[in-house]
Amino acid sequence: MRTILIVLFTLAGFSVAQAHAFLDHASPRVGSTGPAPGQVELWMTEDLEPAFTRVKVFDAQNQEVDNKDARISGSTMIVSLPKLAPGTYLVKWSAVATDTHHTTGTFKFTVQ
Amino acid sequence: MNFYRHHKLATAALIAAVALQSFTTKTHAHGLEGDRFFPPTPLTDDPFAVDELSLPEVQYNPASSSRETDVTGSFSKEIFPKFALSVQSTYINLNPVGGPSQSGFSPITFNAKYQLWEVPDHEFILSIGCDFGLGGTGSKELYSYDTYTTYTPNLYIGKGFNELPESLKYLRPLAFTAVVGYDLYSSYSGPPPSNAVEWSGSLQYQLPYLQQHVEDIGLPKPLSDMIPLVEFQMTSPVNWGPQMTTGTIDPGILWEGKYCQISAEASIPINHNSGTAVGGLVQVQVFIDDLFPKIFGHPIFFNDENSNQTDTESTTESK
Repeated sequence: MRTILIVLFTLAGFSVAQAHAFLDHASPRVGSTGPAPGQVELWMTEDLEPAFTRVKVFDAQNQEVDNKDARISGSTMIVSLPKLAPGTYLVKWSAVATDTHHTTGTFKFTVQ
Repeated sequence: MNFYRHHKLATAALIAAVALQSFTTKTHAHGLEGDRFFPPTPLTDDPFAVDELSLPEVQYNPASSSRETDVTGSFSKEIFPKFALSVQSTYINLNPVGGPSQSGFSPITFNAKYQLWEVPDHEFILSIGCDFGLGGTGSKELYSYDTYTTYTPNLYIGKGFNELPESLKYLRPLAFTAVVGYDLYSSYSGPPPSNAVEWSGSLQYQLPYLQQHVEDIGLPKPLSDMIPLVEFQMTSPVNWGPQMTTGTIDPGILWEGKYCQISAEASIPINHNSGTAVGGLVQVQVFIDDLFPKIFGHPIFFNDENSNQTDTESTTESK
């Protein structure tokens, strides 16, 4: 076992420790009900690779309703929204952290 | 072949695996099926064929007359996409009442596992595999020293409760994993061992899932990283007549950190044959694909660098 650890920690010098990008929190909040937001903003737990990271917002008919102008910066992703009608909306995100770990997720929010 | 030679072979195999690892830049996610992260749990081998390092798992069982303490280490490496090999060994210390203490290593156990069927939208995974407990590789000082090899074909399942209706949305963080295996043996001398069904499972309430996918109720850290769970681990002999099922039910808590997770569980015997007092276990699981992303987190062979992005798009769009 000692030999294994020596190999691992020696090779660790070639890499940088990072982790999977999970959702830390969002605005509007996950599962919340409130007035129509002007944008959806997600704060992730890791820095993101913009070229491979996506966030989209769908209505109850599974039609994409965001303005398709997602911006990825650091560990946040933002997409703006038109004026949303009352209803429940689904946010789908797909994130690739800067160390290339890939994660996906969904959550809903409701507009009164 | 003696015990130490087996250990040297296992170590050499692991070093070779690491040396063969190409320093590519695409990395698989560990234990994820759709929105669901299935953490490795102490008693139920999770259904994922991925890179994992469990170091150590300490289990104390004061209930049996032998008052047993086990320290287990295991390492799993993805060889081909969705196929992994692992090796595990346990150091056992026995302090029987009124008798001399014994200590030594259990037989080395190898495992091969393949992720057979995955449905990310339903947070479902089914895997198959087999454990190989190599006879003659344990310490002869232990009374449980075996000369025969044990083969245990296994079926692994993981399922999240994401399909529950809105009225039951607070139950969506629930998930379960289960393993069912059947012990077979190589040739042996002396009394024949009983074939047995090994079955274990975990039922988890995942607070991170609640916060990230159902409703952000404002749980502070470290509570938002906790997973209360109940595990069970049972053995049911099938050809020893009156022998009954033995095992434990193990309620506990799991803390999911950035680079590791820590689990603590109580072990409650289900009947007198399983023990007479409550024991416990603690496990530290290291996320080696996060600590060393250029080394771990992708298969040694046939690592398709484009597969992740393809998966990303298809998974997202199919929801």
